Amino acid sequence: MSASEARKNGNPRTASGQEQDVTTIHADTPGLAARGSPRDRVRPAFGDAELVHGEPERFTVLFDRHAAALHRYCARRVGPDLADDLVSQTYLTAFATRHRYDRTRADALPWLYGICTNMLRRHRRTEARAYKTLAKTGVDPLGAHDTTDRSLDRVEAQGMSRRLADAMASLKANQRDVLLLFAVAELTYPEIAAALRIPEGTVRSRLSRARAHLRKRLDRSTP
Amino acid sequence: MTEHDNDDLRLVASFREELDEQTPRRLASVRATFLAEKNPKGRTMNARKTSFFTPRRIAVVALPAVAAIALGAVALGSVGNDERGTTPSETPGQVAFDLDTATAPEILRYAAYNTGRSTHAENSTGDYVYVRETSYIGDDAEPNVREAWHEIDLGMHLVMLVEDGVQTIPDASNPKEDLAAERAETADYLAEHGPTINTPTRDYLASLPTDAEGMLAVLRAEHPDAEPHSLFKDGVSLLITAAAVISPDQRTAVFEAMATLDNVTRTEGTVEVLDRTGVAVGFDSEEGSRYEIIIDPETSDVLGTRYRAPGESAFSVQAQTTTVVEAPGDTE
Repeated sequence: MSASEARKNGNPRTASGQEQDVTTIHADTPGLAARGSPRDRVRPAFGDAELVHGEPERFTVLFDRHAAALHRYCARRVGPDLADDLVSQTYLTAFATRHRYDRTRADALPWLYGICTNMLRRHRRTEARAYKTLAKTGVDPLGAHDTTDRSLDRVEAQGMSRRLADAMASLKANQRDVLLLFAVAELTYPEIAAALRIPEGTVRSRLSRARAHLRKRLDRSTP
Repeated sequence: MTEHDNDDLRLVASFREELDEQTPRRLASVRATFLAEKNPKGRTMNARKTSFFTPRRIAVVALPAVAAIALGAVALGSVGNDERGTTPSETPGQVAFDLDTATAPEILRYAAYNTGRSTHAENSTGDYVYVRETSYIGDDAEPNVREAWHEIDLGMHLVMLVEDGVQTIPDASNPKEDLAAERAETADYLAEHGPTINTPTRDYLASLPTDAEGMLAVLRAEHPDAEPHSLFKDGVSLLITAAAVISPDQRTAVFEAMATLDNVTRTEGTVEVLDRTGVAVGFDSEEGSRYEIIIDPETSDVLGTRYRAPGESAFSVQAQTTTVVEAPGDTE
């Protein structure tokens, strides 16, 4: 089930674990639904809070439940090698601070994304350098290669990747965090607010500014 | 809404999606790493026995002891390298830390521990340190932004300054400005007196100790008769200006050294600094002022400093970020 479908079938939860009627851009974005969500919104038999506060061995279940999503998110920002370390460190930090986890939060993923995004801040220059290199040379140092078969499509896709990388490089870091948590991690506004410990209004304004900047930059660079 | 309204989001969502394919085959080793660090009994402890007094060991030994202090069970040595209260059966990876009740030394030691745990710390080879400082008082809606570029190998000499978007150094409108003479003066001073904590060079910073006692000795050498709060401020300065130049082990040592100073206290609760949450620890002066460093103890990042003048209720906050860059004017 995609994130969008999940949101339509069952409303997402707030940071406090309560159901709420949220309509985000996700639900109105066919592309996000079509490509399939990395985030499984199907609710498990027992919640994350139970795993966090349960026996230490249960924390491993939390790893199995969310590590793939975190790894994909990190890999797209700083590459698979660094993503390995970051995911491991994220879970170690989460484990060390698990007693502080709010039991009313049924979904631990925003919490984990928050820790992870904090750790990614140490690698902002690595991330930015990769965007700039891709924009300049057309070769992605993180190893992402377009697999489109048709050569014309491939050329077009490569051109778009370069323009997008250029736009991403020029974004403010805190706007990039919000944009990627929204578009790639598919968190809702309240979830991003909880993850980054900022007001929901700030999430909305940062996302709005990031998108406006992105569109402007992409329009300017379109041949 | 048209079908193109969210093209930007679709692009971002699909950007580098080819990398997703690598995740499944990598997770097994990530999982193994996590479990090994989470349950470090046996292998990890045995490996550490051979280098018990390394800085990293000091950090991991200190934390279980700190936890024990919280329980009223054990007293910890002054610089954290005391073996009391530590047995080979302890599991350093399992750190008990309660942000709500932690004392200032515990917070500093926890930050030290997390500095040591960080991986891939980025130490750039650039020659300049870029410090961006955002200052505000209370709920001030219009903070002042000060951007400074320091030349590392010239004692962190200030070579460029931009205040609220206006460049004040170099100042083309000032006929008396003679930057070449200032540089020469700084170079002469360094040649005569050598680098210090306040006028460091890259080699000097690289030579700083990686243990708490050694670091404390360096801080004391600068001010032989200094009060703890002066040593504390020098430690803060090192953590901010030289943050991206010194190694994680040295950062750990600075935090550990600061944790040993008398009269360091924390402010209850948390402090928001430019949308990030931290904890404030610092000193009260006899005159009634208070100076604090604000730390995110989970990442050991220094979010900034703040100062409250005697008789005032509001703090003036200086939020700092530090980056090593290639040239003055570069910000990343």
